[in-house]
Amino acid sequence: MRVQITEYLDIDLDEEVWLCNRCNHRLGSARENYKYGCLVHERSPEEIYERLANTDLNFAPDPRWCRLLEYYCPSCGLMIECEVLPPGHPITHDIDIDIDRLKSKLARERGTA
Amino acid sequence: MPADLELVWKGRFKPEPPTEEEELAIAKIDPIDYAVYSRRLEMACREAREILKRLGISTFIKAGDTAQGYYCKNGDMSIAEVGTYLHVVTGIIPIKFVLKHYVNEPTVGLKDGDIFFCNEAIYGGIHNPDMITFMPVYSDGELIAWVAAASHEPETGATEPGGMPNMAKTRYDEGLKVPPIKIGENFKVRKDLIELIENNVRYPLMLTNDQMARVSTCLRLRKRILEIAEEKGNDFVKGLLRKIIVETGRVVSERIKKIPDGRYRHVAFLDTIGFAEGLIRLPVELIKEGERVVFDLSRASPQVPGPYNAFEHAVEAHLASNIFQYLLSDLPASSGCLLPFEFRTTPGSCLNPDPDAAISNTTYLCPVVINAIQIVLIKALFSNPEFRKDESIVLPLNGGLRSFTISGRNQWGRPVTNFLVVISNSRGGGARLDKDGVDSAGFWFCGYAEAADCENDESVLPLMTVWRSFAPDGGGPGKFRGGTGVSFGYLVHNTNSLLLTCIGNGNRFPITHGVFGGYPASTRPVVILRNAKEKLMKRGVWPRNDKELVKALIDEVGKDLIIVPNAHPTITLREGDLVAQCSGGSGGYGDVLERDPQSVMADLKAGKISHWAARNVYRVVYDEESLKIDWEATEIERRNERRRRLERGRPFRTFLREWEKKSPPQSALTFYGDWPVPFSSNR
Repeated sequence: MRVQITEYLDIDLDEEVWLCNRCNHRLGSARENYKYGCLVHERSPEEIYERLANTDLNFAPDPRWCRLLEYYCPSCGLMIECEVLPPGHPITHDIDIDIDRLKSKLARERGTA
Repeated sequence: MPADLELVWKGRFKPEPPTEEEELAIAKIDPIDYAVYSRRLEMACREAREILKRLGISTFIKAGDTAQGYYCKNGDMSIAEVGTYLHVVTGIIPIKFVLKHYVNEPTVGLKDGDIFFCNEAIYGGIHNPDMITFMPVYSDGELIAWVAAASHEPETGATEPGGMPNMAKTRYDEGLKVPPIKIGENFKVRKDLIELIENNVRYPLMLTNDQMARVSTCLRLRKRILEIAEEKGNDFVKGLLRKIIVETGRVVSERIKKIPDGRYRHVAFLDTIGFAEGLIRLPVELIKEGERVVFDLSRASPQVPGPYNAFEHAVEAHLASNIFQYLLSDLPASSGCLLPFEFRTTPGSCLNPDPDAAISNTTYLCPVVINAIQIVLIKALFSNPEFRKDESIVLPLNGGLRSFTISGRNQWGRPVTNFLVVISNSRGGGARLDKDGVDSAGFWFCGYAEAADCENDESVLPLMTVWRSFAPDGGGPGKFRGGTGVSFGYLVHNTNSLLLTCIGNGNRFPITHGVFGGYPASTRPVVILRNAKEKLMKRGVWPRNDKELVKALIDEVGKDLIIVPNAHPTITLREGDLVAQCSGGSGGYGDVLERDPQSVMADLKAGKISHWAARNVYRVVYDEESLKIDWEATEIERRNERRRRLERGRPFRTFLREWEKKSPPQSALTFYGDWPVPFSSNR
């Protein structure tokens, strides 16, 4: 059974794996952080927000305070998630679904348990 | 008697179970009467909102940033109407305080016609600019309900004008703080107590006028509920008020059960404490189990020595403000909505500070936390198709409050202190599952607030609006773009000097983030141009937004063109100076490379994004003159960008080895607490 969890991620509950829902690439165990199976690129915010003047404070986030972490599907290059963190801050395990309870809930709803 | 911290800290906003008397009354209400009369209460709240808006004079009230509602006889909130949900939630504790401490107090007591007032956070409010007026409702000598009206007043006699001083270090710098007191009897407000309040603030006329406006609002609420009591009896009214709470509680529990059990997390960061810059960590872990949701905020940064602290009940009030507008927007705003939610905070943190802490910028801190809560809710809700169908997947409206407080003599020679609400009320809405966020959507706290017309500000303040336009690149890029805010430019006009206090955040670190690959909304500073009138006329340029101003006068940067943070101590402006600030945008949804190139061109035409972003972020190939898209070249460019991602991306564990060695500069961590996770040794 396959369940869509985010815009770009599914979980195959039978195999308990994360999948890219654009190309079906397997990203790793659904009981772990899907980010482990992604490619990661650390980006300066000035690549996304235009810096206007040569001043300390600007129209883009300060690259010394803030980094953009882009998580890509290693197969199709889709950007699955973008995280904004100070440099070196622990990565967020953002979606940590109780897989056993999700399986039981869906089985109950489908009348198979 | 000091504040009843137990009542504030522990009792909070959750309703008490129905009494036996209320249960009997509920059982007698038939479903049609329930539908008809609960709707009548809602309509009465709307009528009261119009009364307050028309009678009040603060820019907040004029913009609709008010609240008015009905409470059960024990103080539980039954039904309220926007303006601002936040204020109505915080009526609960002051009412309960009066019931607990003053009913049997011979020097105070409680009777028909009493009028109470409160603006004190440690007695259940949010911060002292939020002022609430409330009255008991008696019918045939029996207390059957309470009514309340609240508004934000942009002046409290604090160390800086406007009530939200950047420089405050303790509660004693924040001005007037009134615990629940009886300010009137027999339906009349006491002159001596009005005098006491007036004597403590810079703009007494506004505070007294708005106090009377709130009293009038309460009187209309009272009149309408007494009409129902006359028709249906006291027991019906008491049962009706309680049934609204019980029914909403039941629906909320059913809705919460549909969220998959698990843990969902997000981390937000503030970049100021008011008088100094610094990173403040604001993490959220949503723990969902059955019908219960716990928000664990226990690893937030320590209490800061500025006004960016929030008592735990204020965080909960902000959650209420959020869920009433999003997850539970179809239900009455009632205490019953709050039943499933619990909070965990760490004493000594900025979300659970000492009672003496400065908290006047609580409303600049909590929306950042609640923006993070909205993101974890999206991640928790998404997997259930029901939530995807009912428009629950919507990113938060920008939580980075920004504005100016203006103080001095206006063009009529009168003393004035007021707040440019229009800046905070024109923020971008969050991108959604299937569409962009609304541009210039409104006010985070207050879905119905308005961005008042230029003439509204110009009639009372010595300012001329030079521009009001969408802030280009203000919304977070994504498949669906976050709504952008508005860029405002004001020229100081017809006054010798004016004090400007900049309040806000989002200078170095983005406040409102994206989801599923969408980028956060950009940061944006304040721009001041000295002698702008002369300089712009000489050059013959009249910019349409802050970016155009900086580009046109790039040679003046660091001289007469100054870029300062959104939170800044008071600055003196002179005739002819120009000041520009932007309301914040919201986060984007999804991968930018999936955005329809035609939407990118439409944004360019409307001035919502720059050519720079169209080329470098959205990767669209087009002709800058005609905006004609080269579809084939765009497809190739986007395919190449995906290939470049695969080349530059590194496997997670390889990346982590390098990442973990990094940290922000020490100067950014002054108020952060233990790096990287404050209070982590508590576990």
